[in-house]
Amino acid sequence: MTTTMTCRDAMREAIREALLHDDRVFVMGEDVGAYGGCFAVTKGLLDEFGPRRIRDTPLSESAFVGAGIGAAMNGMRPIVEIMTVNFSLLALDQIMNNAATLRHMSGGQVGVPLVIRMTTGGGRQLAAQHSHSLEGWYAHIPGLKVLVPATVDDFRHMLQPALEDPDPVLIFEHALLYNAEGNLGDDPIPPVDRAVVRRTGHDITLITYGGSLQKTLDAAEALAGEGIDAEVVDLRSLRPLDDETYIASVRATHRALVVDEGWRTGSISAEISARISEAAFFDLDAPVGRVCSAEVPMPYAKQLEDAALPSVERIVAGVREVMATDA
Amino acid sequence: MPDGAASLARVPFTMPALGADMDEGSIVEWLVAEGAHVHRGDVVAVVQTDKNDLDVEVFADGTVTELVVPPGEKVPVGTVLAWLAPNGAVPNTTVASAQVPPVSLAAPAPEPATVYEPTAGESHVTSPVLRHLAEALHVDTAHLQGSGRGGRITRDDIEHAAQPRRRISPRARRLAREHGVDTSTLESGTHAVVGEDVLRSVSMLAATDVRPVMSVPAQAHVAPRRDRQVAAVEMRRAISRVMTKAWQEIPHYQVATRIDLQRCLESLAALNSDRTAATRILPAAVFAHAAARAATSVPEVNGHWLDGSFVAGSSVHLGIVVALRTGGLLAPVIRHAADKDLFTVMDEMRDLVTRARTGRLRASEIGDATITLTQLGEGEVDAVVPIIHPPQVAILGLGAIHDEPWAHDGMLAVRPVVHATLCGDHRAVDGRLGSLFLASFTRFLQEPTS
Repeated sequence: MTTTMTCRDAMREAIREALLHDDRVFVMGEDVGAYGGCFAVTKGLLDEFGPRRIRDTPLSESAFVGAGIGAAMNGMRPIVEIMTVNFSLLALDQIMNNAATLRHMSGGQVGVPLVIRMTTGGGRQLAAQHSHSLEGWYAHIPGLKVLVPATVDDFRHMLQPALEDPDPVLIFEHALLYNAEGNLGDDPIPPVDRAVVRRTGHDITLITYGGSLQKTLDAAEALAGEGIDAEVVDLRSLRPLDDETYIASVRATHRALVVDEGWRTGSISAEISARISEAAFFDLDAPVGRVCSAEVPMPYAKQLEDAALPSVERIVAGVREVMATDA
Repeated sequence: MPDGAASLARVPFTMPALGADMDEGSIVEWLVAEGAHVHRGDVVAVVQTDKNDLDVEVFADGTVTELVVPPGEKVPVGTVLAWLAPNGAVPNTTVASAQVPPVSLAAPAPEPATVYEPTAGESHVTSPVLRHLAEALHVDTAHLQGSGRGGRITRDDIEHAAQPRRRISPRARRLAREHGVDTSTLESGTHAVVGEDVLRSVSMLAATDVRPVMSVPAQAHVAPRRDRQVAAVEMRRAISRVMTKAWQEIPHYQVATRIDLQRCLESLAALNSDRTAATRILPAAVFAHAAARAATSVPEVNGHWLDGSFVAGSSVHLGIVVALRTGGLLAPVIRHAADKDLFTVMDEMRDLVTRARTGRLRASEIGDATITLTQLGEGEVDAVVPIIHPPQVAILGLGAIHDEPWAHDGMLAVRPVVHATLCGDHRAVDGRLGSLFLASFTRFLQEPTS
């Protein structure tokens, strides 16, 4: 039997389940309690679990992420919510210099089993301080794991393995996905660090994740009408990257396009493109293509924001370009 | 004037390399005689290569002073075939070698003054401007044949040599290397050469443009489709290339057997009893299905010989040789043939063969076969001993089904029989495995619908 639900409800269910089954789990962040979460993910949890386990914090990302790290080091399993990825930069020192490094610096004596959830991505006219996609930056840091759910199933089931991980795991939730509905399957999801082929095809591999997955699948459908049969790979994890899956796909299709809402320069799309060159150069029939966000601070104006973000049209155009490599 | 001076001014006309794989050639016919005046671009000789006869042009203006190599003699690339005296130099060497004193010439001799012949290894580029140009365009002048006076390199020569390198995808280069394909012979229209172009050439598919993904608007202004005659020549050339390579490189062995088809054909008749002509299962599909399944039970015959080692196929992609009525062959592929049931194999085969004959195959439907089946079932041939299609390591050849005497239970019976021959690449697979394959094939034929 399948149930239809939104990604928001799926994540709330995952948090509830974790709170019910593990006393060490608690939720901490700005407005997660009385207000129900800035994106209403934790709505109702305060009533159900009380203020000791659903903790509203002061507006200091550095302080409450640091507190989460301390709690995790001492045996708790905190779920820390940061309102948007832009604000996580205030806690970057804690995340990178403490959470990501302590296991290494203590010679394995101290781990930080912390989960940090945050929203990412644009498309809501929230302008240049609430709309960026910086998950690629975090994927740069050894010691962290970076998960990017794109489906209801992954929103529902990625949290538990993240809590079970002995090291810090960051979950990036694209804000436009919270209202997206989908069927919740009965089957367990594949391991969180494995990429999944969401659509099979012969002519080109489209590699994407998170908020860009649906756009990419829509583009693949549009391309099918032109006789271009695209395969779509959902990365699901940006660190570690599941090279095996997308490289195997590129080896079969001989062409690749990476769709990433991050900026193009120094991005995760650049990393993927480089890895394809390293591992599958002699299987390529065309240079690897990329569709990324325009290299501007995210505009507020609707039409400018739309123009800055990857769109179905831009993905379709990008695929056409990779397919027609004129001499 | 010393004797040597005039001969220094002469320009060699050498055996050209007409393709990357050409090492030697011979003159079929000289189209000019000694003393003839030639211009750059004139066809002066017909040269025979391993592949065919080609008209050869001269790259300098001048007078033919000597035809060095007579027709019929095979010489390496680079051998001087003839000598030319460039315009403006001494008309021919005979004059000079006759040691006629210049003063005794009644008419003023053409100006022999600037006689310059670089010695071996010296650059032919005299002008600093051209040397800079060559450097800027990354042209190696040491290997350039000058078309200017005295064999000097001209601006045209450098610019011509600097033509942009043909765009060939990394995968196409790799496949061309693996299959021994000369990339200069590949057709790709206005696009860069991609893997499919190589595979198409290898798969003997030259007749039609089968690049489906490229049929987006850009195609409109691409050169018109080559006419049928040219396509037929290209296909012949591709077949020649692949088969020659196979015959020269692959140590073939053959194992053969006769197979009693009585049970098989009876099962088939029962299966077809309620089928219409259009949906009947043909023996050809039964053979294909059995061959594919036999290839899974003897995986050593299913795969490719690449860079000196055998790479087993991850699945059975069965190539089916289709003879075209217009001449030539195609080998479309039934992918994952062993994982499909007989009915699916029949449907796909019907579809592939029809489209192969009408030139409507997709590029993805040819090439990359892991083993091939060829059947001469329509003719009167008893047996066929085919040639392996590299880089595959085995091919199964089947003759026509004939009634033959068959020893059965100590009695002589008459049975429908097919002769099956497996040719194997002995570098990759031994005869024992070939015979195991035939045994397995025979077994699967007894239970065609299992």
